[in-house]
Parts: sequence; C-alpha cells; structure tokens
Amino acid sequence: MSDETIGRCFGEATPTSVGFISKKMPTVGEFVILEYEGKKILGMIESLMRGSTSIGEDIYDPAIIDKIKQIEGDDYYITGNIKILGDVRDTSNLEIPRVPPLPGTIVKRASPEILKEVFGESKQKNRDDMRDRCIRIGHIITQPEVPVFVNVCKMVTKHLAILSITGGGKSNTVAVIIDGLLKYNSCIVLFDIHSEYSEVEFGEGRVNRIPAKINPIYLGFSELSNLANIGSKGAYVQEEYLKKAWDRVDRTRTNYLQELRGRLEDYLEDSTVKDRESIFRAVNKIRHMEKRYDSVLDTNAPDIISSIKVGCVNIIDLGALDERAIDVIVSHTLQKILSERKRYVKSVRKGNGEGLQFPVFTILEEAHLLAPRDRDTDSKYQITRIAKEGRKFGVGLCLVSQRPKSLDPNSLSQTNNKIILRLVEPSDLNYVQEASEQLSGDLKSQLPSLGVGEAVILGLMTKIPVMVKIDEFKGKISGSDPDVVKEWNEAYEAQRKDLDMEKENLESIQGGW
Amino acid sequence: MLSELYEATLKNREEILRGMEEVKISSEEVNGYWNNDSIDEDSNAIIGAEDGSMNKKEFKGSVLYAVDAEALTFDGRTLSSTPTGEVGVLPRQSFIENRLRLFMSLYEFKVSLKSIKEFNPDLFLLDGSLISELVRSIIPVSYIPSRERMEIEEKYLPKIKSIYSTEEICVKQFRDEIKTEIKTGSEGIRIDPNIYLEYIEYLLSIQQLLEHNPVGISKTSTGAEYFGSEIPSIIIFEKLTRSEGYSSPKRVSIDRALRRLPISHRFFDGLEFTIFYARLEDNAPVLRFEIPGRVKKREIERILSKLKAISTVGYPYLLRKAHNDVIIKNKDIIQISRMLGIIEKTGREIL
Repeated sequence: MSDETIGRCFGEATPTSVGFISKKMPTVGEFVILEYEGKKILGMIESLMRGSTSIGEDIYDPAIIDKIKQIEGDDYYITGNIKILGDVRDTSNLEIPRVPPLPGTIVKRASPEILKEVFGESKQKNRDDMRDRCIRIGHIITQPEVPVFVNVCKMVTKHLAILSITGGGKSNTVAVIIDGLLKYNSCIVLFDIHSEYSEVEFGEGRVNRIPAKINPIYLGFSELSNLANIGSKGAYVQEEYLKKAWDRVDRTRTNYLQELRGRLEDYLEDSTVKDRESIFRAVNKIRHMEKRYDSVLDTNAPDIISSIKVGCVNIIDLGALDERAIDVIVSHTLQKILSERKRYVKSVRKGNGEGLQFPVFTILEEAHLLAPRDRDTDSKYQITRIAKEGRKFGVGLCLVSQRPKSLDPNSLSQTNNKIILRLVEPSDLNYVQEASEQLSGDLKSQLPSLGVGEAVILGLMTKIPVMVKIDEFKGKISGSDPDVVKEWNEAYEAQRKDLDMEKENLESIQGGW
Repeated sequence: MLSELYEATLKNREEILRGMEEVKISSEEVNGYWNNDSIDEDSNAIIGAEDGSMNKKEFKGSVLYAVDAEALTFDGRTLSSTPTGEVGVLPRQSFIENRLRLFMSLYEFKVSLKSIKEFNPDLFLLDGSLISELVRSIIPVSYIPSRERMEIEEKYLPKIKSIYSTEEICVKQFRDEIKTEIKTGSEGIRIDPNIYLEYIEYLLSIQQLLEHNPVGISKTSTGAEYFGSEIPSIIIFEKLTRSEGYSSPKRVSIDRALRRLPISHRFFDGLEFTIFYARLEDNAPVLRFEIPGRVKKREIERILSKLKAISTVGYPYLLRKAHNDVIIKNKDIIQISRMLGIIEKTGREIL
C-alpha cells in the first residue's frame, strides 16, 4: 500500500523537528514518512493545531460563526509538528539524519508495512542469540493493525518504570508484561503491596505465591536493628548492646530472638553495667518487635531466595502488613536477590555455580512508598543499588507508581525504559519529563488526554517513542475499582433480612407467651 | 519635528476643532428620510459578490505590480469562487496608480461578468461606489490630446469589440503597436497611450456589467444628497439613527463630463442610479447602496432581505470574504519580487 500524502513541511526545520501544514485530518501520535536527501525518514506527529482564516479570535457572537459556517462550510487548516525519528531504509538502526528537511517536503502517512517492520519483532540473525527476543505489548493507537513489541533483554536489564494516575491501566500493563515474559520461562518477583494479584492466574503452574514471612535467622544485623526500631532511630547505645548480644547468640537456633532478649536482660542484671536505661529500652523494643511482627517473623520459614522459582511469577503478598514490615521484607528480598546473583555470576567465572542461577525481574507496585523522594528507607537503598548494579548481574527493576513526583528521582532516572499512561498533574508531568530525555514537550502535553490503557512508550526496549494501546490482559486482576453501589445494596439487603428474621423470631416468642 | 507639531496643535486647538463642523441636523429631519421597519431575512437566493486588490513596488526604472480579483457565489449550500489576477512590470510614468486601479477594475468587472454568466445570481454585489469609479477612471485619460484619442478610437475600437472576452485584459496584445509615449503640458506629464486602450476596454466592461443591475455597496462615502449639508449623508444617518432600516431612495445622474465618453454615448448619457442608505442590523454601520436604473421601495426591501440573510455584523459576508481573499499586502509584493529575483534599487536606499 503506497503512503498517502497528507501535507507539506513549512517554516524552519531542524534535523529532529519540522512543522507541517495539512488539509487532511491526521492525528497526534500518527507516523509519517518524509523523503529528502535520498533518505526515507520516519516521523511522528507530536502536536496539531486546527484553525480557520475566517473564524478568528476577534468574533464574539456564536451566531456570526453559524452564518460563516453556513456559507463557507468546513473550511479550515491544520498545522502541526513532526518529531523526526530516523531513516527507515534500515529499520534495525533508524539513523537520525544530519540534515533538516526542505520546506515544501511532502508528508505522507506511513504504511502499516513500514511500521510493522519498525515495531514488530526483530529478525534474529543468529538463532542462538536471544537478545532480540521481544514480547507484544499492544498496538499503535492510530493504527490498530500494527502491533508493538518491546525487547525483553533491554526491558529487564535497563529497568522499567510504569507510571500513571489511578485507573490509568497500570495493573493491566503489568499483567500483560508478566504474561509475555512467562512465554520465555522468565523469573519474575512481584511485590504485591495491596493484594491486587491475589486471584490472578497466568496459566497452570505459572504463579508461585510466596508467603510474606522472614525467618529471623536470615536477617542481617542492620535489618534486625531497623525492624526493632533501634537502628533507624539513631539509638546508638541501644544498638551497641544489641550488637554485642547478637554477636554472642547462636543465630542458627529457631529461638534465637528469645536468646537475644535473654542476653540483653543479663546485661541489665550486671551491676557493673552503666547504661541500664538504654539496655532496658532495647529489651522492650525486641519484645515489642516480636509481638508486632508475629505474623511476619516465622522461625520455620525458608530462606526467601530458595522459594523463588524460574518460569513463574513469584508473588509476595504484602497486603496485610504495615509500611515498616513491607520495607523490611522488600529490602531483605532485594538485597538477597542481588547478593545471590552476584555470587552466582562470580562463581560461574570460577567454574562452580553457587548462588541464584537465573536472572530476576523485580516488579515493585506502589514504588513511591518503597523508594520515596523525601525520606530514606531500606528498600530505597536496595532499589538504588539494583538500579545501578543490577544490569551486570541480570537483576531488573520495574517501578510501578501513580505518584511519580513522590518517587525517588535517582531511582526513576535510572529506569531507561518508561511506559507512561495517563498523567494529569503538572508537577507529575514535569517530574517525569526531567527523568526521561526522550519525552519531548509535545509528547508530554499528550499525556493528560490519553485514554485508559493508552501509553507513551520510551526507552531502549523500543526503537523509537511510540503511542500504544496496551493489550488487554485476558485474566482477572482485582486492581479495578469496586462497584460500591452494588456492594452497598447487597449489604443493605443482607442487613434488612437479618432485621426481618429477628423480628419474626421475636414475634414467634411473644406469640408463644 | 514632533515637538513643533504638538506645539502647533495646542496653540490652534480651538480653530482646528471649529473646522470639524458638528452635525446640526435634527433627528426629526433625519427620521423623515429613515424607515425603521425591521428587515426580514430571505435566504432563498443565489448571491454573488466581488472584490479586487492591487499593490506595487516601485524600482528606479520600473514598477512591479500585482492585481487580482475574485467573484464569490453562494446558492444557499455551496460557495463557489472565480479568481483572476496578473503580475507584471510597467515603466515609471505619470498616473501609474490610476492605471493600476484601472487594471484592478477591469479584472473585477471581467470576473463579475464571468461569474454572472456561469451562476446567474439573483443579486450581484460590487465593492465600492460605481459612480466614484466612473469619475476616478477618467482622470488620466483627459490628459491625452483629443487628436491622439480619436486616432486610437478609430483604429482600435472595432478590434477591441471583436476580441473582447472576460478571461483577460484583451488590449494587452496591442501594446507593442503603440509605443510612443505622450508628453503633455508644461508639468512634464508622461503618459503611456495604452492607457486609453485600457480605458476603452474598461468602458465596454462596465457597460456590460451595469446591464445586469449589480448593487454597489460602500462603507464610506462623501455623497451629500440628502440634507443640503456638506457633511456626507452616510455620517448623518450613522449618528442620528441606531436601528436597522433604510433611507428613502434618491435618483442620481452621472457627471456631465462623463456623458462625452468615447463609446456608448447613449448608454452613459442617460445613465441614472438609485442610491439609498441602509443599516442591516441594529447598531451596525450604515452602508451606501447604488443600483443602476430606477429602483422602487419594494425592490429595495427585497434586496435588503436577501442581503441580511448573508450578512454578519451588518455587512454582507461574501464581500468581507472576497476582500480577505484578494488582499495583496506589502509583504506579498515583496515576496513576489524576491521570487522573480528582482534586486534593482528603489531609490529610497539613501534614506
């Protein structure tokens, strides 16, 4: 199918951007072709304006406009801006030209054939080289017949952020990505903060639900200290005594926490010890920790790393826990994943394969809670470490958030891939743009008008920025909004039935009398 | 220099303001001529309208000019456009402005005739005063000695009549035949005699157009037919009336001098116009209307009804659109000169 002419370039152009004028009606996000200097250049329409020479801003009476339209009909012009993306003669490379287009260059709609070559699955040159493997994420918004694929290796190793306001389609996007990755027997660890994935299914044997439990045996000293609210509060004297006790107990024993407490109480009974008050507080904090995290700390729980399986999405349900407990579990798990992967990679070089043998893609829902901008958390520290070092060891991050401006900027900027669904707040938009060099002002201005499930995809996992309608996940996720009216009605009916039954019972008793 | 002007302004303030004569006519007198009846709208009509434009850029030895015109026709559903125009170069001579206005008028008339022939409108509107048009056009021609004029008439009038068409200015094909410039008068006025050929074609065109009873509409006017005052009647109606309505009509003959035209003496000798003023919408500006021949009140009402249906803010939209479509701005003529690669000096560079 030949490309349809929709307009002409005009005004001053740069090698990366050109204005155009049209009498047809293109759409924002649509792809176009410009031919100049012997090249065939792909561009994307980033912005559009429509106006009329007869109906200007100096008219203040709608009746006048009615009359003008009656006489002139629909006479309008369209101008817009095209972002130049690259030369499609080599779709694997898409080199940006060094020369701007000539004013008057014809602008044509890009055919589906060209777009399928650009956004489709890469043609592998070497059958054993899996680095070109892709997953389908959706289709181009303006051209439903053109599917969009993203590169798996680049998505996982260069990290990903999925950002959107509530109800924009983040959970569906996560589910589509998981579904796609599982086709390659990947290992995904999903931190489910709000139990959204408690009922999701990805096919038989593909979901591994890991209880949100930590065996204290596997906790490091600082993890334990923070959990007990000693280390995070700067209580140095308490921490000193706790460390002293920790060094002395046998941490392989299942009751080591009680032993730890016992050690501290022994210091209290020692009349030569000066810091009685601090030790007393430390003891109370350990006791309090044991009670508070009774549901999380499990001396029979296995090491979390040994529970992770490949070929599955490993879901850790954190819905029942408070923020501190979530922080501990997430930071502990991430720290273990990274350290075990490092151990494996180094051991492979030595010839023995110890540690975690497969790469892991970690998905963190509500990432702004785990890596907040304005305070430090243990999770944030681990996330930052993975963001910087994870690539080399096959540990990937996926930060999912509906409050991007609350997310740690260092972590966000380290995600080289972004799926940005609908964002509305100007501060969120500016924040995201600062963290994404590929997000131009024009593309940013489109974000508030995206529909549910529509996204701008940027980064190394796709050759060029693209506006996509994300596929719909066929399974069930409970991320959607509850039907409050239905639930109220059901509860009210149930309450009424209970009252009626009680009334009947009372009447029958009174009748008996 | 401005400071001197400001000083003169302050010094002579009263005398200057005295010169701006106030309207000393009573509302009763005006109301005697003004009909306040509201104007019904009649949208069942085919209406045509035209306008033209010209611009020029003068260089040291020549003048680059651009002239265009457009006729629009609206039948209630579809808007059609008939455009025309020309770009050319003329030597620098006296009355160049008048000559280019003649070209513009010629194109306006021809495009109007073409549109009338194709669409057969119920009403055709011309921008501006027909009477002023006839008066203004004769000025340069009057400088050509009568002997030269008679020679040109005798030789070329039959040819012009035989080749006349609405597609172009036909007399251009004779330009190379009449090359000798006419120098006349002690003022050193230099006239290209081709201007007389163009004037003849102009008269032929306007005669044909007037036979279709077009309506000339002006936004401004110096005509003072109504109140015996030197103040233009349009200003008096504008100031002392507010509602939509129209004035009683008046008959106006063309100037005596124009009756001695080289062609169609009888047609122009007996030519009369009906003029009236009207406001198509409350508080909108008053417009002057000129129609060839004698037009009665009922016909005036019919015309105004059809116009009101296609007017916005009290002015026929087709005229407004034609004006916007044809306008040739200074930057446009500069662009044309760039496209032609003309780099010749204008003579004003030393300023």
